[in-house]
Amino acid sequence: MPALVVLTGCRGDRMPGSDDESGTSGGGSGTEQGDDLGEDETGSSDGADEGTDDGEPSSCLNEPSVAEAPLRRFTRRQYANAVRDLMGIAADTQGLDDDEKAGPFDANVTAPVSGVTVEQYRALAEAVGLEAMAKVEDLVACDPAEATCADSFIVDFGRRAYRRPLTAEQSARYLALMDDADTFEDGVRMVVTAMLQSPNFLYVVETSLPDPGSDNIAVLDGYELASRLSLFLWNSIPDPELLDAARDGALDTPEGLRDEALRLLTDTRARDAVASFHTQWLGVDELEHTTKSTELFPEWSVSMRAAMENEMKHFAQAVVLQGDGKLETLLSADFSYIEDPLFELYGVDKPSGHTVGDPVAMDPTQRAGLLTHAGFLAAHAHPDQSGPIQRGVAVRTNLLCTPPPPPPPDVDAIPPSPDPMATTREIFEQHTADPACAGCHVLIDGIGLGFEGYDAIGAYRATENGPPVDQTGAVVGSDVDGEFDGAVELANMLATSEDVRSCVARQWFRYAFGRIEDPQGDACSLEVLDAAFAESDYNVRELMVALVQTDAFRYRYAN
Amino acid sequence: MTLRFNPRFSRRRLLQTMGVSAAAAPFIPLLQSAKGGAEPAPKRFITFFTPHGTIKENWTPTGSVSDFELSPILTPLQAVKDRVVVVEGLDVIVDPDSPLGGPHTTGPAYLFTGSPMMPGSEFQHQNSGGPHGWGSSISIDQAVANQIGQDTAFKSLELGVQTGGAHPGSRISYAGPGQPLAPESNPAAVFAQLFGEAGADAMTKAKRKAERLSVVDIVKDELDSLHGKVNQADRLKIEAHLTGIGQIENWLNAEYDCEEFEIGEVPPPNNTAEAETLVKQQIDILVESMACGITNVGSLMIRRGENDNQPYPFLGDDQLHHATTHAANNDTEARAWMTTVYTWYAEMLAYLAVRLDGIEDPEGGTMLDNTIILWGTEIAQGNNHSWSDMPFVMVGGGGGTVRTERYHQFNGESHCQLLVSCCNAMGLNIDEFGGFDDGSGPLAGILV
Repeated sequence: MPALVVLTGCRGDRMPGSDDESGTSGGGSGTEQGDDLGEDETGSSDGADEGTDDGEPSSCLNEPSVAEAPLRRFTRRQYANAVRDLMGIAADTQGLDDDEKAGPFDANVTAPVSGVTVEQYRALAEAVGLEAMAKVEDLVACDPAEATCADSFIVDFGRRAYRRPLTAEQSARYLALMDDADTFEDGVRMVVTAMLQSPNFLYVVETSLPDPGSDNIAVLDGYELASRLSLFLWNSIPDPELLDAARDGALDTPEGLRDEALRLLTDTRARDAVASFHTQWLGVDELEHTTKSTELFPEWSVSMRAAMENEMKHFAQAVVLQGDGKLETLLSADFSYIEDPLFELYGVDKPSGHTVGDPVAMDPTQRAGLLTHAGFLAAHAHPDQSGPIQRGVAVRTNLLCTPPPPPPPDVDAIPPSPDPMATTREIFEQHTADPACAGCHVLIDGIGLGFEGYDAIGAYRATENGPPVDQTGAVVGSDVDGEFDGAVELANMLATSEDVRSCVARQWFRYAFGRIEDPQGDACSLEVLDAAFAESDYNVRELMVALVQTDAFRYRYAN
Repeated sequence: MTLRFNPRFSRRRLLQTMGVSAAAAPFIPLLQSAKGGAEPAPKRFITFFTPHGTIKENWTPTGSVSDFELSPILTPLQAVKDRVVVVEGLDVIVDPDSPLGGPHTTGPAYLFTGSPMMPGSEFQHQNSGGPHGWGSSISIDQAVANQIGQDTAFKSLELGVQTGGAHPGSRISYAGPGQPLAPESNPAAVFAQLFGEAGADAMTKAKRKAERLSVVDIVKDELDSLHGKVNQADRLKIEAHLTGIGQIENWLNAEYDCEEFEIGEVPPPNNTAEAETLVKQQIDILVESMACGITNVGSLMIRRGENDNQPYPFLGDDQLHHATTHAANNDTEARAWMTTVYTWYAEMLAYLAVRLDGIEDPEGGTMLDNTIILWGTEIAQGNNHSWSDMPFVMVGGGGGTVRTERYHQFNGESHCQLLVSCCNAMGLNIDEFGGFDDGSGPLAGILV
């Protein structure tokens, strides 16, 4: 177990055992908020002076600072995972409309629901309700013959579905539903059907109130924190143990959050969440919609796409949760986790006795971590040719967090058709030859053309239309500027880039909160996060644990 | 020729909408029927979307305003030519100071809202334009629905085929600023809701309705309770959800009694090879819904603006649409293929028009005579993403409001003017529509 990161928070919050006991912001109920803030203000004398390494003033002040977070609605995956965890039922969310995105991540935070969406929820809830009715024995712990059983079921199920205890009013309504039903089983069906259509199920409801003196900043209550934890680390609802921790006030301190986060990270659901972060971050979740020329790439198939997605999932979760957890490993590893039909694509012999989930040594001259995964390369390419622009833009946008400016409005941004007499590099020459294009394109093509050693489906190619592939490139506009030859070299440069580290921290922030970071409101939390990431030697697992202790996680802007 | 089931002749429905009890029934005057009667037929309005413009030289009719021949692309509309209005030469005039994004992404919003995108950073096209939010204003179908959709079970129906996901390039209908309306792309889902339980016995129907209404009550209460507790900026989301629940409530309380109708086997909604089957099924559902008064407003979105890089294998080729649209103007092969696709679009529109024309409104005329279908696309031309000289076609008599069988050649007027004309035809007395409107009012010569 690696050393735990000591998180020194925005107002000088310290680990237990320090002489400054008021550093813990204990107390979960609203009435104690004022006291906590008061304590922090008097107790943490040097919080505001906590500077960064280069002596710049800290963004962190004596009060917590957070950005306003929009109301979130469950994504399809979260809905399905919630229903799975509530009842062991696989909800068919195909009928639900697609999710919006925050950056590269699924998140329903902007548009309100349509009438169609509400109807889709109805149809789905009724279908799940019918399935629940068929397995009442599994879902209900008490004996339906007992008079108190209906109430017991409602209280228990409701607490898990709403992620907090039902109010007396809510319980009464559901009890009335069960009383009206012909049978106990029918009553269970009605309760499930209704709860799954409730806004308290479908949205991540946060209504904790600010202390009047605190400028719209509210401390999230235990249950709200529990929801945030499980949504982030499991992409699902809290388990009963987490709800109990919430009830008992265990989540009201950064240390308590850390402890629960560590517990959640040992669960298999954390693997799915880590895998999902990576496939969304690097566009591999779009692979199922990616078409390739059947003439040029007859091997492109459903099973190939699935294998590519699985590679990234297995690799990411293995490194982050079971391995050394380091960003550098993710971006430069010479091993991966592959299955058929990728052995052939990668030109790697399948080790004898290999089963899916075993690590496989890759060719270190061709493969080095995530950026050389075939899935990433194929997702950022055209049906019939490689995609230097897409790959360049993807790296700039998702690894350097510096999306290039858009092209001028009169430019036709469709690539020229592949030319059997020329290489891809040659046909894109105008970008860097033409002064009107070069200013921006040197940012993009410099990186993107470095991936020319990989074709449209991510297979390595030493030649293209005859001559050997020129895999050279140059990174500009970053802290690791310089020339390179091939994606392996590029990956190693980016693996230790400060810009990439900072960007990765922000991508995890976006994933955790389902929103883009606000430069002002989130400045302190980001600063703390960056410091924690650095202190952990850029360990992604530590980054995740640090994230749940930030102001952005523990407080909300309420109006 | 089928007679449209007129729910307004149903005493039950009449009583319902008047909020009057059965005891008062004898005192309600009988509605007069058929031609020359007091009640005109209900008007309907349908927006019809297809992606990526057209091939202009194969779309443009020949001849003059009132004496013209349909082009190759528009030939499928021959059977209903006497109700066709071809509108050439309008521009989508985009405010250059508004947030500009990728044309395929913003075009679907501009088309029927006539308004800019909202500022924001939710959407950033990788290849063009700056960041922006959703569309910023109500779309014409919803404006019309607010006017004529209050008495029907559904104010409007948004249907589509392979429209994509939660992205402005996949939405043509807006309830208001930043409020896109998702189309339902699975005919089986719409059918199941509107017609699927028609065969059940009365007791089952009553039980289901009662159960669903009790769920509606609970959900409404919980939404109401949350409304005051969420942040101010989030109240709109709660309100939109309440609107959605209200639509379910309307549906539950509406007593529409449609003729039995089979939709046939529904293919997987994402199967591009089955697009024609899916489109026709959505059209069948829309027509049947309108025939029995479920709604008077609809929108039908075929594929999506951002972007339709899908094949049309049932047209005999594996080419991908969006990639092909970027062929040069002298690429005759590509343009011939695109012409085939766009002719197919017109065939689908014709299927809708002919089905409507096959149902008589008892008050007079066919449903098509009393409908306006407005066909538009998100850009005029695929290879330059131009918004100049947009191809528009109207089909239907609009209840006698439209000067039908015309070919208009305009000269750069704002397409908002056409939106105004359509609104006027539907009874909305407005002079401008949308944020791009330049105040010129309705388009000359469109309406009677």
